[in-house]
Amino acid sequence: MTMRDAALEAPSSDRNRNPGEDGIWIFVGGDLSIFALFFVVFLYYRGLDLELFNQSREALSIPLGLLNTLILLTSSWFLASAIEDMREGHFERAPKLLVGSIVLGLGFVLVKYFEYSEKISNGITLVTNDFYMYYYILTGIHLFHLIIGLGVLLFLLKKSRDLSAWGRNSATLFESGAIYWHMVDLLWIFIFPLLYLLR
Amino acid sequence: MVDIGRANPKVLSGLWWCGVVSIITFFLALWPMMGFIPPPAPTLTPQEFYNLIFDNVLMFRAGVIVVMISAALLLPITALMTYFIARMERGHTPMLALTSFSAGIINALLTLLPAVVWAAIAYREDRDVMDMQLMNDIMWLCYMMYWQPFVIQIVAMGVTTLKARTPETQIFPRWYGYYVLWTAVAVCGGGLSVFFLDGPFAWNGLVGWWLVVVMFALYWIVSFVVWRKAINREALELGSG
Amino acid sequence: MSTIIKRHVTLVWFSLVLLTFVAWFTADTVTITDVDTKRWATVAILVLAYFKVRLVIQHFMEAKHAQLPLRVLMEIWPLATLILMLTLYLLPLFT
Repeated sequence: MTMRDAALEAPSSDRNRNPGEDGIWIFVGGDLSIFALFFVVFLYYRGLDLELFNQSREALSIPLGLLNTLILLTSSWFLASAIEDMREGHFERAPKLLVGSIVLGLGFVLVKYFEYSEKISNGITLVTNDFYMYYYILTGIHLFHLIIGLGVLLFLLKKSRDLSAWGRNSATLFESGAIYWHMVDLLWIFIFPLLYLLR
Repeated sequence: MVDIGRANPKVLSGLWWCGVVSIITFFLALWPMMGFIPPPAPTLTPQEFYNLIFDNVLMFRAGVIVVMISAALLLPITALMTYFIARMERGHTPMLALTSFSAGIINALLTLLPAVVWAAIAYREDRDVMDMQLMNDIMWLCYMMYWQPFVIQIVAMGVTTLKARTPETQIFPRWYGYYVLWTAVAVCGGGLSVFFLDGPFAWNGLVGWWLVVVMFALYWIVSFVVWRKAINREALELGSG
Repeated sequence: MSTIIKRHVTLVWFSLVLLTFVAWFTADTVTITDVDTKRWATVAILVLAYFKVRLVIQHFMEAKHAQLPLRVLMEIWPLATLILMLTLYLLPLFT
């Protein structure tokens, strides 16, 4: 029995199952709902003080935000490619792609570090005004999720290297971990325009 | 082969009831007894806070006693959770169960201990209002910021649930493991309250209070149902085995 | 290498990157101080974000291949979020 046989049929060909495990969708659905709440709260308070929010926004670095968007998109792509690889039975390349995802994720953290430290050295902190409160908290909570995601990716990397235990359960767990990381990616896709580009 | 062996389902059931009573009385004590749902705004003046307490002081003092009882009843439920985790770790020394257990004790202590500060607040009518404000700050920051042991306690349970792959160790449905981990992540946000006196992230805010307390209450409701099912199944297995 | 390029997820990634740059250029052109242009540009940017989010959900998370209830929920979330965002963005501008 080859690895290929032990692996799961992709959801695209096996319509009798959902990608990942049911539980991960509870997690992701719940977290997405909470973030939607954050977005609503942010936009509501923004509506009460448009001038402050618009003006404060100008201190944000759009190029860095853009860079972070591209970093996460590419990181998700690597991860999705790794899963495709494993489904096709190419288990050699997958770990490398996962390392790529992790490195990109670390890159995101690095960019955020520069962004934050630049602002803080200019005296812009969490309590400077309402806009920056939302900026730090939204991006901070996202960063928290991302760091957890790096742990998940490391776990997936370890799994992709140890094929002796690979089977049906591993494949669904893998998909679940990937779904979490894609959630981190898609949250930033909304956060970036919300904070950096809205006028 | 390390197997902690089965517990008496009647005892498990008793522990479960302690947990249910704990949570119900906790919320009953906070409101309607103490009027603390939602928590008093950090922006209240010391005099306003004084009035809040002493307009209703007998009920408030009684509420404190109830909070303390409910906090102590977290200990039996910690034991129940520890048992489940140890069963899921069957075959190994139950280290995650021990981790959860130690975190659970601390969590119960941190819920119990600060309540006496509330008792002190309501103790003397001629107390300086500034002192009362300080003591209340300590209390609420305790409750909002001490999420760490609770998170460790439930993460240990969530992780163990997901690691369980054999029929003997799968005593909880797998989605419960994910659900618990989500709760842990969502509850971590309580720590932000130290930065804010008002707004959505303060200890009485939409996110700082309401989101956290909803996630917290939901966790207990879902967990009690899942744990009850597991206890009933144990009783069935022991009855027929 | 060629297997990666020909893949579906690669096409999705490329579309996402493209849409990201489109959004950026749209944002950049809004240095025009014309208020109406700013608003339309912002609306466009949010709608573009919705499509990007949807691409990630459908193709990376593979919700496209999920069973109906999940598929429906994962269509509702981005759409509801977009509608809420657009409403809350536009409302204060007209009151």
